[in-house]
Amino acid sequence: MSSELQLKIISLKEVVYNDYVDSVTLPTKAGEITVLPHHAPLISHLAKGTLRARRRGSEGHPKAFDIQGGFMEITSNSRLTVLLG
Amino acid sequence: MATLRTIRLRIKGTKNIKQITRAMEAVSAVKMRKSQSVALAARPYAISALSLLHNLKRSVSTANVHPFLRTDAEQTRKGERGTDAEKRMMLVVVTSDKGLAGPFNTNVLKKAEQFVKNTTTPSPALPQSGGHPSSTEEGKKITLVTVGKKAGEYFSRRGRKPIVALTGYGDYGELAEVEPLFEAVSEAFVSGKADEVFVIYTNFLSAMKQEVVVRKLLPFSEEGLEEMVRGIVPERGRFAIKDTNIPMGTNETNNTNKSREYLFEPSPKEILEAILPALLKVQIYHAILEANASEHSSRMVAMRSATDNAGELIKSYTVSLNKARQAAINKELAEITGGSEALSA
Repeated sequence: MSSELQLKIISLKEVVYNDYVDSVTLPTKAGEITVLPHHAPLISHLAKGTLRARRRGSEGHPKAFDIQGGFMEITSNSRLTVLLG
Repeated sequence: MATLRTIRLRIKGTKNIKQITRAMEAVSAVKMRKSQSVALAARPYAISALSLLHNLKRSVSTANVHPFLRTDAEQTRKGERGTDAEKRMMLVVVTSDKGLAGPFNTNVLKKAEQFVKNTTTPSPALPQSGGHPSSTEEGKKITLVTVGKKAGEYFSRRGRKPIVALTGYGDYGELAEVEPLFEAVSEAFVSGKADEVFVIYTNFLSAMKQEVVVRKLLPFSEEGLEEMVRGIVPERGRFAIKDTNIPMGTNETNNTNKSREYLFEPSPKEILEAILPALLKVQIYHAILEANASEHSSRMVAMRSATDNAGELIKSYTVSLNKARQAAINKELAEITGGSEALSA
C-alpha cells in the first residue's frame, strides 16, 4: 500500500469517501494542486471547486466531488484527509 | 361522594392524557436516536480537525497569531485588569424551546445560576435578602447569551437580560444554523467585551443519564476541544463505543518522522485564521446537538413516567367507580326490599 494514497473525505455529517487512490487533484486557495503518493506533509486551505480522485483500472474513476471549501492535511505516511467546510 | 358520571368522565380524560403522553414518548425516542446519530456523525470530522490543529500548532508559533488563542497572561498585560474577579465573562446557556422535558431545563438553569454566583464576586457586606439582585453591578462582569426560549425567559424574568437570546434550535440542525450564535460569541470575544466565554449545556451520556457541563469555549484550548470530542460518545446504548481511545494526532505523528515539517499553503497564519473559527463553530454546533439529544431523552423519560402515572390513576379511578356502582346497586336493592316489605306488611 505504500505506493498509494489513502484519501479520506470527511464532512460534518459523514465520512464521504475513504479509499486508496493514485492521485488527487484539489482546489486550494493558492491554486489547484495534484497530490501523488509520498507527497511532503502539507496543510492547506481549500477553495470552492472540484476535487478529483484517480485510481488506475478501477471503475467509476476518476471520481469527482464538488466541494465548497475546507481544509486538507497530508501526513508523512501518504494519508490525505480532506475536511469539508 | 363523586357520582358515577363524574368518575367516568375523569377516567376518560385520564385515558386521553395517557394516550398523548405515550405518543410524545414515542416521538421523543425517535428524535433522541436521530439527534444522537447526528452528533456521532460529526465525530470523525472533529477528530481530524483536532489532529490538524495539533500538527499546525506544533509547526508554528501560535502566540499572537489569532485573537481566539490569546491567553490569560497576554490579556492581563494588555488590559491592565489584574485579578480574576475583574475578568469579564460571557456565558452561553443552552436550553430547549419547549417544556415538558422533566428536569432538563431546570438543571441547566440551576447550574448557570450557580456559575453566575460563583464568578461574580459576592460582596459579603451586602445582605443577600429580598431577592433583589444588584444586576447593574454584576451585569458588568458577566454577560449572558441564551439558546432556547426557556433560558431567555428565565433570565429576563430575573432582571438579567441576555444580550443575545436565540431560539429555534429545536432539532438536529445544520451547521449553518449556529452562525448567529457563533457571530455573537466571536464578536464579543474579539472586541474584548468578554475575556472568557463559557458554555453550559447538557451532555448526553445515555438515555437515562445526562449531565450538565460547563466548558470553556474561548480562549481556545486544545484540551477543551479534546474533552469535547471525547464527550461525543455516549456511555451506553446503541452508539456507545467501548474503545474510547481517540487516535489523536499526538500519538500518530510522534512515531513517524519528527523532523519532517509540514508545508503550508498559503501560509500557516492564514490557515490558522480560517480553521479556528471553523473549529469554534463545530464546537458550538456540537454543544447544541448534545443538548438536543439530552432534551429528547429527558422528555422521553418524563413522558414515560407520566404515562405510568396516568395508568395508576386510571386504576384507582376504576376502583372507586366500581365501589360507587356497587354502592348504588346496594342502595337500590335495599330500597326494593324495603318497599316490598312495606307492601307485604
